[in-house]
Parts: sequence; C-alpha cells; structure tokens
Amino acid sequence: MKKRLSNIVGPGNVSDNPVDLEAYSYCGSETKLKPDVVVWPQNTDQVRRIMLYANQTHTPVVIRGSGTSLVDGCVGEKAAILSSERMNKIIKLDLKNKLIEVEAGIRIKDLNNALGEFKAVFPLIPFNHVKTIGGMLALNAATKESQHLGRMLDWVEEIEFVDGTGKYYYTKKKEIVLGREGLTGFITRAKLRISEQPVISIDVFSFTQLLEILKKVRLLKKDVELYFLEFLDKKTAQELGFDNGYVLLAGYTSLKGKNKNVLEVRKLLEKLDSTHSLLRSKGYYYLQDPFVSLEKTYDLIEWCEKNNVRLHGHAGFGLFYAYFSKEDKNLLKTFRSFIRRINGVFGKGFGYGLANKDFVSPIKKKELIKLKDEYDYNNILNPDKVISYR
Amino acid sequence: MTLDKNKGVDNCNLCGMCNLNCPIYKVLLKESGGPRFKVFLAKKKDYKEVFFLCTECGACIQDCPAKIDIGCLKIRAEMVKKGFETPANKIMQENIKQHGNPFGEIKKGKKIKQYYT
Repeated sequence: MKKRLSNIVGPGNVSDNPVDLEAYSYCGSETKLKPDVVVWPQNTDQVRRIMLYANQTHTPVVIRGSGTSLVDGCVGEKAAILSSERMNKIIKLDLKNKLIEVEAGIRIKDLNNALGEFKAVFPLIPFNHVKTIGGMLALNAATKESQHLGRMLDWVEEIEFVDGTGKYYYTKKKEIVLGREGLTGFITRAKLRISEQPVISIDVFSFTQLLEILKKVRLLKKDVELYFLEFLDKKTAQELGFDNGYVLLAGYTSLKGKNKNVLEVRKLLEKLDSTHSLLRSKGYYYLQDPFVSLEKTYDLIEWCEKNNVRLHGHAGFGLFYAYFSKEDKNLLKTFRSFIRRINGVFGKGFGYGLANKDFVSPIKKKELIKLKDEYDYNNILNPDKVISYR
Repeated sequence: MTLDKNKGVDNCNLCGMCNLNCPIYKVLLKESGGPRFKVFLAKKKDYKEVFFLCTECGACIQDCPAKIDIGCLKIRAEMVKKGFETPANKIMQENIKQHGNPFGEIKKGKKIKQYYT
C-alpha cells in the first residue's frame, strides 16, 4: 500500500514507520487506535487519486487536521490517515470583497496572524488556536462570537472537496460537507469571508442567584447588538479576578457597554480567553460540551456546582464546557445521563465522532445516510464515526 | 494567575496547543515531530529518538494551557546514560575525538561550510 500511495504523493509524504503510526494513533481524546499508514497529500489531485485508490482496495480513510478532536474523530484502527497538515497555504486574499481562499490544513492562529497584517480577521476563534479551518468546517464549529456571527457555515462562500468516491467538487452547496465530520468528503479548500477587526464594548454582570442570570440572559438575547454572552461559574469567575458570584460577560458590537476603552476591552477578552488555560492549569482534565435549552441551564449550573465540576460557556445559545478533574472520571457517565435526562445533547461543540455517537438524533442519522449513499457509498470515509453505515 | 499546579506530563490531555509554534513541527509538518507526541511518549516513559528533535526554545510551554514542561534535555541525558545515541551524534563525537572538530577531517583548501551543507 505504501508503494502505491508514495507513487501518488511522493515518498516523503507517506509513512508506515511505527513511530509515525504511533503519533497518529491518538487525538485530543483518550482513545488510541493505530492506523496502517499516514499520508500527507499536498494538493487536491493527490487527494482525489488517494480516494480512488482507497475505493479500489476498500481501505478505510480517516481524515485528520491538527488532531484536536475530543470525540475520537480523527483516529482509526487499520485505516489510512489522510492528514491535511501539509495543505496549509493561503491561495488568494481579496481585501476589496473581504474574501480569502485557503487550503483546509491552515490553522486558525496562522490564518489570523497573516490577516492581522491587513487589519482583517477571520472572526470565529475557537479556544484551541491550533484547530485547522478544515476541521472547523467539518464540525461547522461554533465559538463565542457565534452569538452574533453564526457558525462556520455562515462564513463560507464556496468550498472545494473530494468525496468518498474520488469525485471532485467546487461548490456553493456547502451543506454536503459542512458539519458532516468528514463522512462525505475531504475538504481541500474553502473561500471564506473575513471581516475587519471588530470594535466592541463589554458589560460585566455579577449574580448571586441563579434565577437572576437566566432572566438576564433572556433579556440580553433580544439585543441585536449582542456580540457574545459568556457565562462563568462562581469559582472560575473568582479565580479570573471578577466579583464574587456567577458572572455574565456581554459583548456588544456598539459602544454601549461600560467597558469601551480599547485597553479595558482587551484586558477583559484576555481574561475570558484564559479561562481554558486556568482550568487546565488547576488540574481539570476532561472536557464535555453539553448543549441545553435556556430553561435547563439552571439545572446544569446547579449540578456542576454540586459536583465540583467547572462550567463556562456560551450562555446565549446554550453551549457550555464542563471540566472534570482526573479523579472525577467516574462522574462523566453520571453527567452524560443527567444531560440526557434534561433533554440536552453532546456534540454541538466538539462534534459527535465516536464518543458522542449515541447523541445523534434520528433525523440527523437519516440525513447522513442519504448523503453517504450519494457521496461515499463504499463507506471509505471515517467509517463508524457518527453513524453506523451499512 | 498562578500556574503552580500539575506541571508534569501526566496532566497533559493532548489538546495539541503545544504544536502551534514549535519550530520543529513547523518544518516537518507531522505529528511525530511536534511536542505533543513527545508528551504522549513521556507519559509512558517510552523514550525514543524524537526527543532529540527539540530546540529547547520553550514555545510549547508558552502555548500549553497547563504550562507543561516536557523536559527534553533531561530525557535526552537519561537516554544517553542508558547508551542511546543518535547516528548523527555518534558521528560528531567520533569526529571530535579523531579530528578535534565535529565535521571530520578538514582537507586543505576546503572551507568548513562545505562539510555541513
């Protein structure tokens, strides 16, 4: 297999060396699955030829970007790992129309570093800056800015991909691959919208009562100028240097917030962005992405507080991040049952992958099966992820 | 903010943020060249040649949310003590012993640069 693949991508871009195989046996989760081969294509044609070869030989292909999946999304036993790491170029920047065309393997931080020179930004910024654009597209990722700006889907003009049968597409029909977690195709390029660096102001609200928060969230959500609405639990807020109590940070696209000075805003944003680092440095190890309705947010916060689970997240649209310490690993199972009980789901933040497979709704399953039938009927791409196909 | 706790590799949850600015990863563009793989191996004390692929610049510690220091130098020292050497190091050591420089025999009229480019 290596010989055939190296004919396609060149000898330096394919490996079955045990060290490389071990390096691609893990991602951001605890599952370890050793692949048979790792391939680093460098252009779309190579991806297309690899897919054709995989179809001929029935080789399962697992797509990987930076390997940050928390739900076992980019590992696969005895599979060929197709890594986008070496497809990381910026193809075209159109400042006039605020568009940028990039390869899928470019990492969000590298993209924004490059755009910074032109005072532009790709505004959806996840807390893990190493994520690739391809990965974010495959998850249709949401970030705190999604409150105002929507998800990745809203920031893509056109997308280039190779489907599971080796067919090439350059299309505006983004929904074929966006948010499909690599089940229908390998995203090779995307034309993204960019914006100017946003001018925002921020209000910080502290609460002692849970019910007060929900009332405030309900009120703020109606505000069309709301840019983000972030929740911090009591302990986390205190450790970040906010007042005692639960904290809501509301960002606005106008200057109506109390903190409008550039330095004040930057300081608050830095604090907010350091939440993940703070919790990780405190020894919180496992991460979950509960998605609950506003009515059930009360229960979620209360449960987490009672069980010493740290919680922060996007209160405006109900996507939270729960942090468990290593000792509380057993709590994870209880937490998942609890979320199910309050009609919440997992997977809206980190994706479904293997770990959140049982939270995929029947409607979504049906939709994915239909897409698989059309774009990957041999079930080459990410087999057994998200759904069990055939 | 104090980052005093759990700096050891056991606290790594493999988020991959350490790969962000690693100069070795940026050149090789593969997981086995980056710091995350080193932590993955260090967690199970499986020391391999990849620990020599580190410039000790500390960019990984800067980017790590848990501020984990892999300690490649210490690991390398331990590996060398146990008799492990990379082929390149072996050649360099031999050259220093025999010729007094890491490049080997320097012939008259040749500049040192020609020996390593």
